[in-house]
Amino acid sequence: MKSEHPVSGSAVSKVLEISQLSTPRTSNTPSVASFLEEGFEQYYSRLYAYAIYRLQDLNLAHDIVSTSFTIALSRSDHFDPTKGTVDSWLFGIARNVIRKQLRARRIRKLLSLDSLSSHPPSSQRWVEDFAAENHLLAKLIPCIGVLPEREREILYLKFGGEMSNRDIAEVLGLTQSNVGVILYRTLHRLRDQLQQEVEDE
Amino acid sequence: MNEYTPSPEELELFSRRLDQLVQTHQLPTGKMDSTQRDMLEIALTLTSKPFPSARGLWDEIRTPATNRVTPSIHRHITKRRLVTLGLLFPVAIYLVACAVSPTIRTQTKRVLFQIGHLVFTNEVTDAQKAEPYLNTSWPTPPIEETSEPMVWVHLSQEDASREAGFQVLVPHDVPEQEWERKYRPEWGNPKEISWGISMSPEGVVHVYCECFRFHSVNISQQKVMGGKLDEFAIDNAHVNEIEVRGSRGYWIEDAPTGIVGGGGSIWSLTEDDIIWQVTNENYLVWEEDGTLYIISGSDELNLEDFQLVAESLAP
Repeated sequence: MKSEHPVSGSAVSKVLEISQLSTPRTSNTPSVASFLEEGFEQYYSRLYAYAIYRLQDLNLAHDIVSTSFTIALSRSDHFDPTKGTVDSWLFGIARNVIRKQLRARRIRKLLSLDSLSSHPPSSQRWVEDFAAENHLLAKLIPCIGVLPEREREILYLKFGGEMSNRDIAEVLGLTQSNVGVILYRTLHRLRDQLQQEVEDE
Repeated sequence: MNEYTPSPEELELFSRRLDQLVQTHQLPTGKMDSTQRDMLEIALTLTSKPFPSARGLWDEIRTPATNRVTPSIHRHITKRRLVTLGLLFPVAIYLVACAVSPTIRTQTKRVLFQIGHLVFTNEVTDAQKAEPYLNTSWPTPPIEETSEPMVWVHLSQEDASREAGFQVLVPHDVPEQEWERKYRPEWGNPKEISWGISMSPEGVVHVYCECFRFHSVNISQQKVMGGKLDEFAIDNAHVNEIEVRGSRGYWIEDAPTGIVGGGGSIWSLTEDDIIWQVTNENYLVWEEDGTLYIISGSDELNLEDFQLVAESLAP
């Protein structure tokens, strides 16, 4: 399947450039804010896809990305290249924003407020318009839904966020090889499940 | 799971192919067995996803981020998505009351007006009471790390009407989505209306209208109950008696009934970093044919916007 927005070469090189910074930034090094601006569409698309996979809600995913960028920009001075790459920093922010959103949902549930707040027709829209367009994806979504949280998270970061194993390892506090093994096993398991479904049919 | 453990060489090769796939969005070439080919097909499927235009959003984000301490987009986002405490259920009131700070100010209770079975008072709102509770370390259940969608009791208009015992109305017109029209034309007609219906155990029908960016409204509809009166605190909100769809109604402006969460630092953002703040919301309330209607939404929607939605309500 073809991507509508292939990864831009210049954006990638900038990502590499800033991700390789090993010392605190000086006035000569590019700022994270300008960096994010130039690579915005690329980052946006990746974060958006990651958030959709996590939340399966188009509008909420959009909100998550907006919030993540807002936080990243307002705190760009806090970016510390010695702690990780821009990728792991930005996705770490998005991940935390999602966790906060989930916590807010939890509080809403605690206070029995769900029926008063947003009804997510976009969730259904996502399944109907997006997953249903792709037969294989429609079959994959339920299979992924029953995977352990860590496996799901790695899948979403890898294929939604298009992150390297190294960056995923930084975000999740795992080793790079561990991420590789989990990815391999998870894809293998999904493949077996799909095959089983075909045989059952 | 042992059967899925690859050799180090196999793993390295597969990881390289995955990276190539993620970067090019194409299946890698080369000799491989059918299982790995299938796995890469799955990976390719997961890599394929929608990419809406992002340039307008960038402009929207950048300005507030550089000019303000609290970016408005963040405020809108949380406002739309986070807790609306305006119509807390009794259990919520009980929980809040248990944890509320003793320093909550007291005031003389005054009835502002009554409509249907609802009595609006000038008491502090549940959101105001909840704020200190939410900002303490009072233990809440641990967050469930799950990507599964929320389970919603979705009712069709027909089912909701049958269960509620009256004809549930839905909006047929909404204020133009300026933001969407400007930045996201590919999302279609800014007047397109998207709504969902749910019902509380108390029989209150909620029509959630997610039709304009950052400005959703909730349209509560409930049969006017005889006998028992419910109180609705709105503190010092501005109240104006007006006509809505030919009936007596009230426009309540800047009621501190919403609460939004935000804050935290980047590197050490934890679940406990969230800071809750009370926000204002607007309400349009009226009674029509034995049904009490309450449209609630952001304080950035004005009376004209609310009236537009109200006038458009129809089966």
